[in-house]
Amino acid sequence: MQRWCFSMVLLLLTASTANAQEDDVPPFRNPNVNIHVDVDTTRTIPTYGENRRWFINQTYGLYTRFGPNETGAKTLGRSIMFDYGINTKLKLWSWDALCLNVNVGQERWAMAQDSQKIVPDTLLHKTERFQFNRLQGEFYNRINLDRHRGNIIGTYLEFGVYGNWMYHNLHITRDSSDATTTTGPKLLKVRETKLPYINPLQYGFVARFGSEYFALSATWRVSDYFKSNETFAYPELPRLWFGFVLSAY
Amino acid sequence: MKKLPVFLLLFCFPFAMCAQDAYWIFFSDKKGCTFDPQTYFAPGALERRARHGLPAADYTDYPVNEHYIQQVTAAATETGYASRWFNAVEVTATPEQLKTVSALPFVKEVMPAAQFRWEACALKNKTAADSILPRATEKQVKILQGERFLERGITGKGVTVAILDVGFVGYKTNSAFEELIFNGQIKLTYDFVSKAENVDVGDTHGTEVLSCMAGITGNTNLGMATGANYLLARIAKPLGNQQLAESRWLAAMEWADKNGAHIINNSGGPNTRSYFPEQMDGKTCLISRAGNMAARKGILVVSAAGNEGGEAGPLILPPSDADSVLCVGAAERKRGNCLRSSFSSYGPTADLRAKPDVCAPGDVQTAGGSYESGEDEGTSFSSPLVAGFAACVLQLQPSITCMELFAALKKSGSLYPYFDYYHGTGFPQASYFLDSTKPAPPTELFKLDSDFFTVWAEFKLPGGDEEEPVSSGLLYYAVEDASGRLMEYHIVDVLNTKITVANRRDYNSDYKVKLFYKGQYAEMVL
Repeated sequence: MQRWCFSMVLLLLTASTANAQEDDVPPFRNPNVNIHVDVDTTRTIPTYGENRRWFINQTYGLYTRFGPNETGAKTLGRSIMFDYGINTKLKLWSWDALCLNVNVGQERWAMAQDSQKIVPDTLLHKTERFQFNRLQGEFYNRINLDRHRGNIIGTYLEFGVYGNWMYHNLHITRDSSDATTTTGPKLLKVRETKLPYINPLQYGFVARFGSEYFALSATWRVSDYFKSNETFAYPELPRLWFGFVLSAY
Repeated sequence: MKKLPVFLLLFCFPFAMCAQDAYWIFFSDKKGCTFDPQTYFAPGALERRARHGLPAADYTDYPVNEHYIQQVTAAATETGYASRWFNAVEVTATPEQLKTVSALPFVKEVMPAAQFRWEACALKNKTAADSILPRATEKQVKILQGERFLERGITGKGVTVAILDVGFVGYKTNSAFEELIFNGQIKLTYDFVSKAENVDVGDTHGTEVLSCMAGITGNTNLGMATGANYLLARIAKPLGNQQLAESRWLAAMEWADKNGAHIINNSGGPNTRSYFPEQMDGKTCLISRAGNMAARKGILVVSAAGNEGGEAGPLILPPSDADSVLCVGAAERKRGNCLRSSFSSYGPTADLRAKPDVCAPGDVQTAGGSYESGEDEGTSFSSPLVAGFAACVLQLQPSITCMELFAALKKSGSLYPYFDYYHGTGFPQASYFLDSTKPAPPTELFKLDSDFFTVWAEFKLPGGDEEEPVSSGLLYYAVEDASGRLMEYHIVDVLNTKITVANRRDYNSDYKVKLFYKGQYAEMVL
């Protein structure tokens, strides 16, 4: 009990000391002041910054597919695309800049399993999806709507083109075994790679409307995913991705 | 669907082509404008002009030609405030519209208006326990020796102070301003955002700023100018698009001039979102130029330096960057003198002029909104403390002119004649204005000496050889070039009897080293 009382008194004393004015504290308890400032008398104007000649930032994008499905290739709403990129901006004027974005990302197409399905075949599964891992380059023009601003990104519109290489493409299906079967696997997952009917090179348009760290983004694919020949052509997957991009800097 | 790319491009282009920006359109003359200063100005404004030896009105007071405004309005999308001081009007226009406006024969100059965001220079706010309230006098009034003004009954009586801010929520109901309201010391209010008289809207920041001049909580004075009259102007929203706020700021300045303000306090301004640091040179930003214009009309503009003292480097926010605006930094008391608060912006300005001019506490007790006792931090609150101090000086010396007051406030600094870019000349001291006999310089506390290579200061420290060195105070020293520009400056605890302050070989022979220690000042040419 005595020890407890002693601790409380000590604690109260410590607290009251901490509350005391700075000048009440004995000098030797204060950290020593040692400030040295060299004045930059040249004041060179930097060329790197949000609204300077150059600027580099990271981008994180998340998209969902938009647009109608073609018959035979119905996709589900949970189809998504996400990417991570490095964006380089070259300012031309206060209202105009050229940008190059290099990003890696993944497109995941969840396919509906209905009787009309023909992509990539007519077999029905529990779930089925295409997964395209890609390396993408975007080149676009950024037009700022607030020309007379300080060193900030501001509000802007971007439009340009992109091209990508789908370096790894997959077709993944999952199937459950018959419930009455007691032997064998319960779930059958099949991963098919190097899909022969996929065009690995894609291109299209990109447009964005953004402000500071956030942008609404849309990409429109011009090229076709699926190779076609004289006898047969797959219906295409939706061409429009719509989502948002977060910039980090 | 294949037409969608075309659609996207067509979607983008109209936005780009229709991009509208704000511009200031300066007119060449004020032909045909008539003006009667006796009916336009309040008596206080005429008295102030007379005291400064100025005519009742000059060219800059005449209104802008209405026909010019009408023609510009017809060509532009939106028209903002028409400034008498600059003979200009702010417009929002597309590039095409701007061409039309520029071609008008009476248009002298077109200048882009910054996308202006008025940012309050406050960092945090929290309500405080009543028990720590009595420390308010210690924290913010006594540091400037404000209690000496109060003892003499000097409270800024007869002085009109205008406050430009984002809102004054609670000023009518907060008991800290009971006396102010009861005595009718709030002479005028105007909300330049919604164009109404009520300023009890928006934000509590303005109320907190007002409390640092005129707040009385219990028996505790939060500021020094409890007897002054006030004009309250709301000039910006706390958040949102502030594209035309620059014109509101100008409008409020001209309104304060018209209604007889002697002092204008500004506790915020545009930061690097609106201007590049290199544009903060006192000439580029129109509100800085307006600050200088106000000084020419006899109004002392007191403005917060900004809270950009972190890693941004030297950055003095407009309008504090103007040479005739009294720029106030934030500092705390340390070892009996001042030390810059870490958040406080410091100088020099972009064109290497010396700022801030003085400093004041930035960690203060305030009243605002529904609370009567809170703690705030920021140069937002240093500025009104100095503005209140200046109001007391004006009551004491009613014949002093604006620029004399400006110079006197600097001379009253606790570090004067020393100066550096962290503190200016330090905390203004009331004793400078109250004591007829100046205090005798302290006995020699240190001796500045040199040999061929180095310059050093020798201190006479109390006590003998201590086991652990004890600081006996802060030494401020700086090296300046022949033009008076600081090349480097230092603040150190005096722990040893000898401190080397400069190596001669590092500097030109016309450079000078200046030292300040416990009231003693010395300098030596290198």
